[in-house]
Amino acid sequence: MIRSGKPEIDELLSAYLDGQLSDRQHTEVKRLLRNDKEVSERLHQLSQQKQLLGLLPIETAPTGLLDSIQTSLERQFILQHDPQSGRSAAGARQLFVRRLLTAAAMLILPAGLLAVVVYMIMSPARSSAPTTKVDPGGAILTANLPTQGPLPRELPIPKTATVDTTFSPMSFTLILKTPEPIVVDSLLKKAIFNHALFNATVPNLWSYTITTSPESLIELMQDLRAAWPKCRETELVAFGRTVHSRQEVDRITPDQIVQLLQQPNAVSALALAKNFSGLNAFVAGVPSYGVTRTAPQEEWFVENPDMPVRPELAEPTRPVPAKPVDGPRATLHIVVEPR
Amino acid sequence: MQKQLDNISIDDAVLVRRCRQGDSSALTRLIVKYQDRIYNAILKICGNPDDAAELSQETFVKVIEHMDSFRGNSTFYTWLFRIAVNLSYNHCRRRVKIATVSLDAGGDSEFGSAKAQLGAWLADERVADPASLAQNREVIHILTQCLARLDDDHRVVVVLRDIEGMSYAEIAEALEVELGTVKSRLSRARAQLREVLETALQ
Repeated sequence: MIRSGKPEIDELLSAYLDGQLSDRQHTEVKRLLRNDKEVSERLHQLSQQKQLLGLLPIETAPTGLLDSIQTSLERQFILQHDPQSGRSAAGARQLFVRRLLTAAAMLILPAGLLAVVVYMIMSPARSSAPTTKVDPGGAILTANLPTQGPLPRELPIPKTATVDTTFSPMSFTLILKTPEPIVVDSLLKKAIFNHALFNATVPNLWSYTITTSPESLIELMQDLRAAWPKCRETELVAFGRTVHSRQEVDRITPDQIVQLLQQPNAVSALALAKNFSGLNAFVAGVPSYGVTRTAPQEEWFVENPDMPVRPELAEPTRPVPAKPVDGPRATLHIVVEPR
Repeated sequence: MQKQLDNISIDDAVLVRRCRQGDSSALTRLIVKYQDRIYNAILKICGNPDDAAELSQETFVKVIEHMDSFRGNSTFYTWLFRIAVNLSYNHCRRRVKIATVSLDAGGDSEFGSAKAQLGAWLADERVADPASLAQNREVIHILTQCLARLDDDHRVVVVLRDIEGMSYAEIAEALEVELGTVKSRLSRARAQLREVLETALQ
């Protein structure tokens, strides 16, 4: 019998509405509906209620949801790669070690002092080459230090992993001003890794000094092209160390940097940089030129292959082995500036 | 219809695979495809637009973070809703009680007409057009407030079935419960909603 209690009937009616009953149950509910007006009304109410809920308008998500997801992921990316968090962990470790050492010192120092005193009292006096003189009162007056050789004139200076940039004939500073510094920075890191230039690179916070052959830098520039659409401004300062001069180029393009790196010497590079400076200033008013960012945020999110959201999802790329640098070298100092 | 559903399912699987390969455009498509439904469901569960926006964002961030752990045992759609529902549950638990505005706050003058229309519809389907009734802002407000008064479990199951239109099997997957539990919980939820509605319309 179906009618053993109201909840059971409700469950059957609810399942009947959704077409979730077996054939036997379906037939039985049908029979019940024909014979019991109360059950029939109950089904009607449930049906009306269900129908109305199903017709409620779908509330659309806020327009900025996609952007906020991206921002949230970028924030997490920063936190995951924040050196500050590493520092705090390292600091905690350091504090623990320091406490441990302090505790050990507190235990060892009195024991050591006691041992020295005991040794002083108990050790037999040696006739030859006495090391201590004891006054009648028992106080230690002097102690002969072991013979020491002359102190070295100069302490050896530890060698740090630095890249010699002094003799680079050509040097450039590239400033990338971007509203997405994390993305641009990750592109830079990836490019440096892919070209195995980490040994030729001195990294700093959002800046990298790379000293290698101009050919390697040209190859690096090919990867760095992806950073340009994410920059609001790009600026290059070319230095000619041999001629002690410099030339600034606003709105520098990757192609122009490649051309500068292809120059045989600093003099011609500076001359070309001067031309670029004039040319870029001239065409500054042309909207399609240079690095003016026109694509909306959503577009780059769609098309950007190097999304910062899940760097671990990206296909792993193997770095190409670094080419030995025998010939002329150039230095490219890249600075990422949040803007 | 079934073929269309299959296509959606296949599309999701393809998009998920592409996401795992680092294709951000596939990820964007998945977000765009489901953002309204997720937001709508969460809004109906938690009852606050700001919270719903935040929870929707959190849902997609979690989905992206755990894309690798998605094994495909369930569909992406139910997995996505499972995450959304779990976050909404946690959110509801954090709040002692969902802040609801009393239905009487607006007074009979504001809600009187809507209450009358709603009451008439629930009693007899011939008195009103359900589609236009469901677009009435006051009716929407009353229904939303009634939903907010349900127990969390009941509200979730009603939202997933009657608003989102999930099948029993999909609800069971999303909530990680047995099919029979879905059936009984849904029945109790509808009965509770009916009681809440009757009280509100008095």
